[in-house]
Amino acid sequence: MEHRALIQVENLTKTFILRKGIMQKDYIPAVKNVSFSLAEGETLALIGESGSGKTTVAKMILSLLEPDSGEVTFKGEVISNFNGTKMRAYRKAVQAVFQDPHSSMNPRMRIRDIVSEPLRYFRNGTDYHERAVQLLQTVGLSEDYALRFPHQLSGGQKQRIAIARALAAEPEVIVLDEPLSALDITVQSQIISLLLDLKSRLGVSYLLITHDLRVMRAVADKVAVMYKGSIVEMAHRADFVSGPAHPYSRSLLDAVPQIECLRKIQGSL
Amino acid sequence: MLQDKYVSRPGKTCPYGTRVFWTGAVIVVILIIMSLLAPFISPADPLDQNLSASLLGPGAGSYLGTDSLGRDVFSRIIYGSRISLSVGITVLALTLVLGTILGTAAGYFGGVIDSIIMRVADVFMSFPPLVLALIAMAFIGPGLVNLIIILVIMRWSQFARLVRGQVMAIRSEVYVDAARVSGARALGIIARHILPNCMSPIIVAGTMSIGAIIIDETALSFLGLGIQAPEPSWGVMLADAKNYITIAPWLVIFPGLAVVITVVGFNLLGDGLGYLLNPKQYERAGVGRGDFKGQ
Amino acid sequence: MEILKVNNLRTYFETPHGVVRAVDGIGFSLRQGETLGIVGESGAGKSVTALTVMGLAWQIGARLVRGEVWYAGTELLASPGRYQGVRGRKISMIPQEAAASINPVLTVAQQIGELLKVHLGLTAVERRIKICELLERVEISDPELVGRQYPSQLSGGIIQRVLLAMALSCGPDIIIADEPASSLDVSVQSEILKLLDYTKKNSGLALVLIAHDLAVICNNSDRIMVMFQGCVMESGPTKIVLSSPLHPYTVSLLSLYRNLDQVTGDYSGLAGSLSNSSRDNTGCRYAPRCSRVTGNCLHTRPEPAEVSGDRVVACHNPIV
Repeated sequence: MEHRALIQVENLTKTFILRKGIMQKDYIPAVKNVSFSLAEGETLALIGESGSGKTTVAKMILSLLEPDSGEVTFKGEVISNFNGTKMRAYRKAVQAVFQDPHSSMNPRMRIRDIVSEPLRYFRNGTDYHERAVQLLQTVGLSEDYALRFPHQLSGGQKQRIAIARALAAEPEVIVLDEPLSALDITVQSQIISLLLDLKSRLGVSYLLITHDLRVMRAVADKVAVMYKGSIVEMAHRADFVSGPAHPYSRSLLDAVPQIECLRKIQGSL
Repeated sequence: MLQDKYVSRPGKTCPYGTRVFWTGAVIVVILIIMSLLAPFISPADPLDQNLSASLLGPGAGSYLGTDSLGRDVFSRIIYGSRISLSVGITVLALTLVLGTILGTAAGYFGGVIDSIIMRVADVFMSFPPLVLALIAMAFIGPGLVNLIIILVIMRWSQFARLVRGQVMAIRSEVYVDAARVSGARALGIIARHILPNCMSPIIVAGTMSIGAIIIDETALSFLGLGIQAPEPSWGVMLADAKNYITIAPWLVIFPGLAVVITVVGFNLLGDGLGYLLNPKQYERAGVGRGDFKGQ
Repeated sequence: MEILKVNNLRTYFETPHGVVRAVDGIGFSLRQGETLGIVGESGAGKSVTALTVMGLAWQIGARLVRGEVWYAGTELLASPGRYQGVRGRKISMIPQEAAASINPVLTVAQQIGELLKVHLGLTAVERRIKICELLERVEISDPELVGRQYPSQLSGGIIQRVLLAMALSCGPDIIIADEPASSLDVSVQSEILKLLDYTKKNSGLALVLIAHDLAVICNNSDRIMVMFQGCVMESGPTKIVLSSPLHPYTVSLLSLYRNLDQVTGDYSGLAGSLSNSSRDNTGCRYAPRCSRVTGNCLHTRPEPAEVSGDRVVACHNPIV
């Protein structure tokens, strides 16, 4: 079943320059020739540990960083060539949920204003409050959250709000950068189920960046593993979970053995 | 991280910061009222000379004594507060506006703009303030408006630097990236995200610098560069008084006290504001009293 | 042999919204050579418990601390002075956010050296040797080089090891590790946990391991204590508690791990909404979300009751 490729990433490369001394510069290759594609309605999990370059890839896709070489195309067009109008349309179509819910929201803005901010840029009409309440309900939060401030909410609630904000623009793609890593195990499951629910209802594509293999197993269709800036394996989720090809991927899966202990204990609980 | 949970009944806020704030606020408000009502509450015309009653101590004739020309010290202090407050607030407002615009431009856009603005600020900061004032005075002459201009010139770079630092810190926050992804552009990001989040340290610094501005004005007037006699600026009063310190100490004490009280009032206000806007910082520093198991 | 006993610990904070009872009647004991795992969602009061046991509650702004902490025959909370020579030396702690807990302007060697100087009074030469020894113990290859580095130059995993080295530096009897694995990558997590376990066995110390992930506690602790909103729900030997839990909250935590590939399950018993925070001192903390709630649960707070086999449960309607 071939869906149209929404986002195509080709040979993306980015090197950071660190100044070490007056004369010395250190070149840190963050992303090396990364290529993949994301189709409509598909969820691609980009797996890697810290330093693998996955967040840098996300930033380039979100046009927060310029690649040194290679290109990101959206529906066939290269995004670095976009002028104002096209970039606006791109931003509307590609939204993001960031890693740390505690810092991804302006602490001085009310929830309603945070969630409806994309509406100011992408949509006409001034019914911000009503629309914000609708979005909150979509993510399972009641109307009385609308007037609160971020610091009054827990991590899980904030992440739901971040998801609501991402949905405000009615995007086709949502890039999620480690959406669960700052959350408790108990809350993670709730967010995973929200993401699955939205996926089936809205048909949105996810680019899910994570090092958490539980999330990957629950949500992903395709998996790409990154190590030190390059993709070392790309597979469908089922194949990947049953037997990853690359040794690094295997070591990642092996490092989550702890659940086995619980399973053994529980037997049939 | 601690979160608010299991709230059982409304409690009280930690009182220290609020006490500081209200003490300062009360002083400042009294001063403002005093300066606004000057014509009504002042017992005499501050410019009214009465040579037969010169250099009288505080007592029967006047509350705080008279100066060498028989003018009532109390009235002059009340009218002097008008000058100090108006100069202080005007200079602060102008400095904040100028400093914020330039500091934001430098901090947000970085690069060449940042370099230019900061080098200009460096030049201004490297002059000792009074030398700067003297030089400027030589070009534009004395007077109230020129005094204000000079005081702004002396202080804007300090605020620009402060704002720039704040803006640079906030520019790298995640929610700024999030705003960009949500479609915001430079002006929107600055107005909605950056400025509101850096204003509190700036307001605190600003409130506390009114004290310094008033002292600068007093100093310049004392040197004859600011307000000119016979206007009753506190600095002018101190200048007049310096020849009579031994025989009429009240001429120095009362204007001096006026300056001290005003500056302390504004500083307390600023400090208290700082506490109110950032209570957590002060708690960490141990200002809020803890109870080590009942002791 | 019991080396730490905590009785009826309470730590309250005052906020503009009222009194926050972060820790509200916790008691536990720790035996030599064992690992006690404290598990609970965020807000359960695990970190505050650790800080209170270390005598640091006032430093984070606590308004009231009550209860007893018995170590080596002394009740430590009676006066601040009693923590001299104990905190950092006999009972040490690895705080929660590794990267934020280390002084960024000192090198690794300087930080460890400071502890050695203050607590053990070692000379500079002795410190050099000891620092290398400590860094080797935490499995840092090239301790000389790492000792000279500043924290910003080091990865999360190495910083965590350095913090462990600092905790070990003065030969403690007890180490409290607050979420040692949370901020790290998956592969590093399991290394650090194994290292903690190995160190514990080698040095004969007791470990208090705090985590929100039940899987971490399951694998790495001998006894477990389940906390919820400042109170103990259940405690006992880990394997036994997790294989036959008595408290409904423990059951709901376990249900998260039941089937990973299908994320279904009953989340109503779980976490994180601040909206039902109209908590009064009466009644069981978990009652609003409990599937087994009875009338009694809303009025009287269940006292921790001893059940067979060294287990404690605080529930009016436990699972039998």
